[in-house]
Amino acid sequence: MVSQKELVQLELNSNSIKQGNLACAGCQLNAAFKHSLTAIKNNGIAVVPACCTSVIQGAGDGYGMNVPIMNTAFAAAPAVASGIKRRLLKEGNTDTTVLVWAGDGGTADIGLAALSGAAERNEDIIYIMYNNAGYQNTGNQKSGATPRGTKTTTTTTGKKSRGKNIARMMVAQGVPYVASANSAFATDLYDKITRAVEDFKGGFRYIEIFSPCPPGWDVDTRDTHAMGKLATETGYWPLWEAVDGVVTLSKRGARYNDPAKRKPFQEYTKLQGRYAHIDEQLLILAEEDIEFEWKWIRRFMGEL
Amino acid sequence: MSEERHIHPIVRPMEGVAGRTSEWRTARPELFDYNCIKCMQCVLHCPDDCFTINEDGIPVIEQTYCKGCMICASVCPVDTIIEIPTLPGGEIDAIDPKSVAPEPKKKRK
Repeated sequence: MVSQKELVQLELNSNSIKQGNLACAGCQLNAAFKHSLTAIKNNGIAVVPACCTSVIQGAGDGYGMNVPIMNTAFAAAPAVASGIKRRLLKEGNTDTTVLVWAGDGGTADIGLAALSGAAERNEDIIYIMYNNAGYQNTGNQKSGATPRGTKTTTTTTGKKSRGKNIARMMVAQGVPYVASANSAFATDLYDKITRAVEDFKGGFRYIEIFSPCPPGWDVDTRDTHAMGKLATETGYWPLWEAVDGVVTLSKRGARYNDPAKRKPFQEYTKLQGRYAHIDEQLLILAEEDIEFEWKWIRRFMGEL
Repeated sequence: MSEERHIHPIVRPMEGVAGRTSEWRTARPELFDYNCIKCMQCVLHCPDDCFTINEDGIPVIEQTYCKGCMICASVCPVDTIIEIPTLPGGEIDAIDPKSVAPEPKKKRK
């Protein structure tokens, strides 16, 4: 377990993202990338399909991150990463981590088949999905992981159906290590990625990171960090890790298993423009989805 | 044409791929170090890694690339990072930072 001050020192030394890249002001994905790459100690190769990160890295004389990046087509990222890792292993390089860094559109919608295939082959890669709940770099269209009740440019009156939870799908598929993390809980995120890199080397690992998006969610840039914290505190984004299909709650998020200890869901929604002017019935359904997700978690914990 | 421009198929990490990103902002953070308790929350949560630490252990904001998102101000537990509005271009302050400086707090020993 890393302390906050240790993590700050590690991040200053590793300098994982370069200043002045193309991320929007307040983008939590950039923060998540910083914490994750520090955990990998910059000894990795990132495979990035079309997503916000492929914009953030920049196009021109340089790029804004401190690891080699391979850009691929949307549906190909896990397959490309598998190939890179196999080649590295043939050369005798077992240290370098190969990770896929993909958004929720590239994971939940377009890349799902390739993801499931790589998980089934148990490839030695880490798949990281950062969840900003939509296709944000093309202008906030709805993705499979967009939660119910939110306004996007393709669901102007609020999305009517429940969002997909890919982490849960990966647990059901029997992936050796699955974790749910949050960019606002930096030390927790760092510990999960360190664990994935060190303890579960040799198998497929899947980590999902909650990453609020200021323009897409219509949130003030200064509130994006608070948004991440509130998501966990209202129970909307549980923090857990699963080893061989058995879920354990993380220390930082375990208390929100009890609905009485959660903050009201409205505290989370009222700061976001995407939940404004949405039908109240739909918001009630969106609130019920929280308990629906927790029931699944309790089932995977063996409590139900 | 004696000197041809050399275009590399492989590019390397560099600072400022988007140029001087402080041009984007409408306000900038200013850290008043006399109240700082060195908790490092601002450094940890800055999404653009725009902090360094000086020899006294106090965070220093890199104003060239700071995009002005103000997450540092929102996570500061002692409110010693203050938002200063800037003129278009992000470099020149619209108000005098000293006019909004926080009251010095007594430090616990």
